[in-house]
Amino acid sequence: MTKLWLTACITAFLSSGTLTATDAKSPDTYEIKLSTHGNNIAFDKIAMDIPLGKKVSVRFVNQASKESEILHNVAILKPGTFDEVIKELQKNGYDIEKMRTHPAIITMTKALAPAHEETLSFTPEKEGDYPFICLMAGHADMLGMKGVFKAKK
Amino acid sequence: MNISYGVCISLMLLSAPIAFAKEHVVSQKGKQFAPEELTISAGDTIVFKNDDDTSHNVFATGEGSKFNLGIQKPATETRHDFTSPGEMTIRCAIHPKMKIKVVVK
Repeated sequence: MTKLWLTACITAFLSSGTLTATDAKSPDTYEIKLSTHGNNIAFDKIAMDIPLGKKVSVRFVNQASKESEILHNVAILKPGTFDEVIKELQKNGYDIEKMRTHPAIITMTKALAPAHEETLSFTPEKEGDYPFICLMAGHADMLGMKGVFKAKK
Repeated sequence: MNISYGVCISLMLLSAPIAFAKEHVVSQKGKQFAPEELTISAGDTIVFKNDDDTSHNVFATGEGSKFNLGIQKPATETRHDFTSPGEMTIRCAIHPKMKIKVVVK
């Protein structure tokens, strides 16, 4: 009975709770948590190393306050494509959903309200700098809301 | 001598175009710009008034019309001088649906 109870407790402990992205490193996936920097139009991190050829999971959380009403998203781009993506984004009047099928965008979230989050996954096959940017109007091009994942062996 | 001065001043007045730069007020209320379209002259100024109860951040991108007026708290004004002719769409970085078309003649 004690063993059964103990087993149940251990099972409940392991399956409950939220592991932070930095804790939950499965052998097949490299996990990252990315957020906004308070109510600033900025990410909380601007450069991160990621392993080449391994699946990378990016959990993005909009941590702006609800009162700010600031929407954010994150789009992960192919290396060297920042300028062409921004040009197309401006041409599209900052309609971020029109960018979803752009060939330079590997993956992207929808526009997220404060306290909302979305997780993206991608596998960097080539060594290089993969930009990540916020596609909301003016955030990347005017206000510098961007960063880079550096894929290395 | 007085005649010379008079001639000089007359020539200056005739050769220099006299322009009176205007100020135009654009209100930000209900997360919208009012008006939503505006035609002004080169040299004019737009005063952006935040009549909302939330902050705004006015900016524009595009050739010849790139500026960012920063976070603007409620009940404050910010202004921008438009020195070159052209057309532009001015937006708010916090509220993506807010925009105003400005034509500078």
